[in-house]
Amino acid sequence: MAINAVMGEQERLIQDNVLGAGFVGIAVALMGRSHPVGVFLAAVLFGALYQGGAELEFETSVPREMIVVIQALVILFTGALDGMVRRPLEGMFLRYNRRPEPGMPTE
Amino acid sequence: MSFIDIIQILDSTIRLATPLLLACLAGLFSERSGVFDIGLEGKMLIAAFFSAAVAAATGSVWLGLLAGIAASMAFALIHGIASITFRGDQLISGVAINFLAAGMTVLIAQDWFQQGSRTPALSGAGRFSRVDLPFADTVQGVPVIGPLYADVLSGHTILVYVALLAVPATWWVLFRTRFGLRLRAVGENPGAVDTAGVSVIRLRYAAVLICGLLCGLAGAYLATGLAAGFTKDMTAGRGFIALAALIFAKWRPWYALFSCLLFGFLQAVSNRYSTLDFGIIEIPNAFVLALPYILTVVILAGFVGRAIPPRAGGEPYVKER
Repeated sequence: MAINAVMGEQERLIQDNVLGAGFVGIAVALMGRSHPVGVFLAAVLFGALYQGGAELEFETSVPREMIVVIQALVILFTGALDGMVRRPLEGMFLRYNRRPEPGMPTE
Repeated sequence: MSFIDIIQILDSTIRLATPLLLACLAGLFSERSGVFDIGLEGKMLIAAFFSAAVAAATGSVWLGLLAGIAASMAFALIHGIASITFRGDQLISGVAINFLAAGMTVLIAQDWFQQGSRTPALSGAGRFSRVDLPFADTVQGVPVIGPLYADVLSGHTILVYVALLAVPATWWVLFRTRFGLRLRAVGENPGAVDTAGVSVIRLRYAAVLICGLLCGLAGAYLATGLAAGFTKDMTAGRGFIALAALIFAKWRPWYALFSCLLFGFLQAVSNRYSTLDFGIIEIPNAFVLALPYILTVVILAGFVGRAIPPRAGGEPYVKER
């Protein structure tokens, strides 16, 4: 990854040349649910976000930090707050699956 | 190096150690209660921005301080909800808070002030003014002790003294009150605290909110005491250095004071000299800036003493049903 950034993109060593890819990688892994295919899809999405951020700054007055906010929300809701969605959903499925059972013997 | 050089370096040591100290004590409260917090950096950043923005808009530094603390505590609450109520991963929540603060401050600053992710420069009542300790002028003439008191200790902003007083206050709260005993117990063995009939969740929320309050003070000091206004990414890794100082201090308030002063001293030295010339070897200042991290790794590796974190740190508490 580092070699690609230095010898493939910039062709020289500049300060902060990986642009925080190590931290963003955490977000990518989380959003991809730690599955190789999911990670690939999430990485493509984040790549698109980066390119879109550059275009956004070029064409409008919105600074490119907009994508940092989007990344932060992705990390927050997929990584830290996943219990917020998962637990009620699990509870719902459990209740849904249990309901037919009491009815079974009567039929 | 003359005596005046030493005085000036010590003076800026205290100024640079203050945000580290406040953030370090913030982390101390949070981690002692079993909630790891790597979002100190983000909370300081958002507090720095809102304190500078509100101080610039209203012209009152105290309103700015309140706004900074409120913003920091809101972020602390997000961390609390994610890691205590929804039992999410505390490290991931911290990373998210850092990213959120880094992005949001620039976005809001651009939208609010249109000055390229900065707030307008603060002046007059928009900044904390320096406070002279009593007898500073009279003691000035005494050799050695006079300049040490008048130039190094006296003449800082009020938040510096708040930070220094926060150290004994933290010690007293943690080790001499019932609340502190429970707080420490919740970080070591939350099950025991729960068995005793004390709410683990309420204690951890209290710790996380105290953490937000102290981070708010640290951020407000950065933007309205140390500098005059907010600039992009102005915390510059101080939240992480504060975490390193916390490990270096082995999660104890008095040790935290000394480790923060040491790390502040290293920053002051590297700000003043581009290279350190020891006669035989020359050391570039980047190495001095990296020293806090190197020292922390050495401590963590167990070469010098042992740093033992709170035992229940990083684990959400699940009540048995």
